[in-house]
Parts: sequence; C-alpha cells; structure tokens
Amino acid sequence: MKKNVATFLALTVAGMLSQASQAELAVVVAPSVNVDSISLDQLERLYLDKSVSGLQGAKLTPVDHKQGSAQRQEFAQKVMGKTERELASYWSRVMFSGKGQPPRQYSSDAEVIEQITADPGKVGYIDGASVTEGTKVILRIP
Amino acid sequence: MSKRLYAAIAAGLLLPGAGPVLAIENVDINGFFTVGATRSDSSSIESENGNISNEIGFEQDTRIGLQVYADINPAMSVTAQILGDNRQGGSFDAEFDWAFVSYAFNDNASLRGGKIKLPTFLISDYFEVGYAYPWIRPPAEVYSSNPINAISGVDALLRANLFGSTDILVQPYFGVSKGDEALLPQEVVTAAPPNGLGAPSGTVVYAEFEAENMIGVNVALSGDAFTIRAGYLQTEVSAPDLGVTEAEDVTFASVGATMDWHNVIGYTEYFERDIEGLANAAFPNQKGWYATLGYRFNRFLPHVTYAQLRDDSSSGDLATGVEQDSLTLGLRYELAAGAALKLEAQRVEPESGSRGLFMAPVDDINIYSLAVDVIF
Repeated sequence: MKKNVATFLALTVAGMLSQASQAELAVVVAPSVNVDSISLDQLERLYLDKSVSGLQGAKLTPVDHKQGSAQRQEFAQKVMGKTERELASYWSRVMFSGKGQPPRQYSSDAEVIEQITADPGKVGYIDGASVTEGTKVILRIP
Repeated sequence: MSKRLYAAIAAGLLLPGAGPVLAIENVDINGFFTVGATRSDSSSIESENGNISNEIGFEQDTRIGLQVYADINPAMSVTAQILGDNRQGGSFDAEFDWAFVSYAFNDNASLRGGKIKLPTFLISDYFEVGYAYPWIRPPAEVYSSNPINAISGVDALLRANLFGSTDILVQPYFGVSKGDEALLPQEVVTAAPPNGLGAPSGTVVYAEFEAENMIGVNVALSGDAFTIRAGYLQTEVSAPDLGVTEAEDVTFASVGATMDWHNVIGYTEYFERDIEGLANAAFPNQKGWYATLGYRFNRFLPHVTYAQLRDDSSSGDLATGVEQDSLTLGLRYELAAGAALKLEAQRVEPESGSRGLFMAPVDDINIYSLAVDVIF
C-alpha cells in the first residue's frame, strides 16, 4: 500500500511537471464553421501554407501563436515534427521567395479565440484548458 | 529611454524570427539582414565585382532586405521586396528588387504580374536571404551563370498534391529583362570601341543588356526530405553597349536537387547555357555544377562544396572563356530561430589563362568569409 501511494505521488508529480510543458492543445474554430474534425496531416499542411483537401470543402485560414510561446513550440513539435528553428528556416524560403505567407501570430489563447470568433473561417490552436463556450474543438492533440 | 523600449529592442535583437515586425490590418512587413566580412590572400586580384580583395571588406555579403505583403482581398495580394546592397561593386544602395500583384484562382493556382525574381536555380528566388541556405554565398560557378536577376512579366504558380506529402509546382513565366535587372560583369579586353564602356583594359565593368521574349518554366517536386527541380528558358539577347545590336537566341537549362534527411544536408545543381551569334562574344557558352554535403549536429552544420564552371563550346567561343573550380569548407551555427553565424574557407582555382570569376587571370586563391544572417 505504501508503495502504491509512493508510486501514485511520483506519477502525480511527474504528471504535473509534464503538464507544464506538455499541455493538451485544442484546435478550434467558430461554431458556425462547417468543419467537425481535422487530421494531423491536414493541420500540418494548412499551417505550412500548402493546399489541403477534404475539410468538407471549407477554406480555413490558420492563426498562429507568437514565436517562442509554449503553445507554438508544442504545436511545431507535435503537428509538424519540427523545431521552431526548422520552421523559421522553412518560412524564410517560402516567404522571401514571394511564394507564401506565414500565419499571423497572436500573443495569447484569448487573442486566438477572438480571431476565430470574429472571423469564422479562421482556425487556431489553444491550450486545452482555454477552450470556451464560443468555440468548436475539431481536434485535441494530447 | 524607457525600460520597456530597452526590453523591446533587446527582444528584437535576441529573438528574431519568422513573425512579422509589424502587422497592421492586412499588411505584413518582414526582413532579412546579413553582415559579412571577406578577405582573400591574393595581393593584386579582386573578385570580378570588386568586392573581395586581400583587405578585410564588408561589401560582398552585407545587405538588408525588407518585404512588404498586403492583402487586397481574399484572392489578391501585393508583395514587394526592397534590397540594399553593394551588388554592382558600387556604393551601398537600396532599390525594389521585385514587386508583383498576385491573383489566386484557388489554393492550387495563382497568377503573378510585375517584376518577378527569375527562378533559374533552386535558390534564385531567395538568393539574397543568407539565413535560408547553408553557405555564405551560393556557389558562384553556377549562380553567376545567369546574370538576369528579375523579369518584368507574368508567371503562374500551379501546384498539386501528388500523394502524401509530395507536391509538384509548375511555374511557367514570360517577360523581358533589361536595365538593372540584367547586368553582366564584363571584362574589358580593349578600351577601344565597340565595347564603348570607357573603362581601362583589363578591368571588369557591369554592362547592361536586354533579354526579350523570355519564356521559360520551372518545375519542382518536393517532399518532406527533398526537392528536385528542373528549369528551361529561352530568350533573345542584345547588348548594344557591347556591340551586340541584333537580338540573338539564348537557351538556358538547369536541374538540381536538395535534401534534408536525418540531419544529412545535400544540394546539387547543373546547368548549360547556349548563346548564338554575336551575343556569344559577350556571353560564352557555359556549363557548370556543384555538390554540397553537410551533416547537422544539433546547432552546428559543417558542410563541404565542390563546384566547377566550364566553357561549353564545341566550335570555339567568340568570348574569352571563364573557367574555375572551387572547394569550400563551411560551418553554420544556429544562434536562435531566425539567426545564424557562418564561417567559410574557400580555395578557388581558375583554369590556367582564364580569369575565372575574378578581375584578371590569377593563380589559386583562398577566400575567407564570416557572416551573420538574421531574418525578422
């Protein structure tokens, strides 16, 4: 029993520690957007400014977090398998050749929610704990 | 100065990245900057643009670019890039490098019109953006071969997702190039007419030329770890400054590939250019290639490049051939997302009797370079 308590405590502490750096991300749109789910592959292509098929024909505009934010680092790693350095390198080639523009960056989950609700058609990602009534979650990234 | 301003400046210096500096409604401004120093071990001979000599100089690689992107409506946008550099061996100067309006029919097809960067090689589109590639300078044996920087005209970007993460881009274009879009470093063999450049014999000056009816296509296949591309263009070139008053046919073909696979970085490209008639006196037929191999150790990317430029004439060129080989050892270090430090040592060997890409014939020469590249 004692051992179980110790294990439980250790797991809880480990869980809390990893919670800090590995929070769940929620991909959100406005409730009126006619998309109910999105795959990781579709999401990756969307955020790299590549064409995405499917999505019930909807055209989504991605909204990003500021470089260096916990959300963006996690999103880059989990969705694109890239570090922010690799993303910067990718965008330097695409953007400065005039072939594409990176998603606009915002400072907080609240600003991202404001963007997607003010302009249905935008898609963003936020900390799973920041999901509000006025948003529709189309993918949870553990 | 307020603390906040200090903090903002510090943040701007320490955390450059892909985010725009300024995002007004519908307008993004981004930029790139390189400061670079060069020095060669030749006491008398300079690079053909006069920017690399045996004294430490900052002219060759130091430049700044500002890019402005504006949405007009969901389908239309305007993008322009202002570039400040010492490109023609002159003083530091800024001008619009390119600017175009883009119309997107859908996610996979758009049309662009204006002044467009010519997509001759893998990285011609972003040749000035040092942060975007491993070297301090893309291999000159290949990148010097098309002196046309931009065209005034139209192109189309046609994309398709073939399967999985493999995409194809087909980019046909049509236009003309003249004035400062098309400048040729020209060796003055004789100061007498018809060269009409008024420069002393044995020096190199920039001659303007005109390329008309330019039509070409750039095709690129890209996946997660690789890009393969091929390009072909034909145009009609005249250079009144150099006594070439009749437009002559020119063709240019290039293939290349790049990979970034399990930390192995590779680049290779090959080209051939063929110039008919009198224009051949100003532009010799050429072929050239390079191969780069590097391996990324976390923030370090050591790399090695071999490059070769050759005359490609079966019947003998009217112009003096420009031939050289080079071996480059380089190291790139990632300072942060959006900032890199680079060191290079390059040994250049012009073919005997050829000036290579220098002012005049020279024996083997070593060039040492250091640069910091930033995007913001």
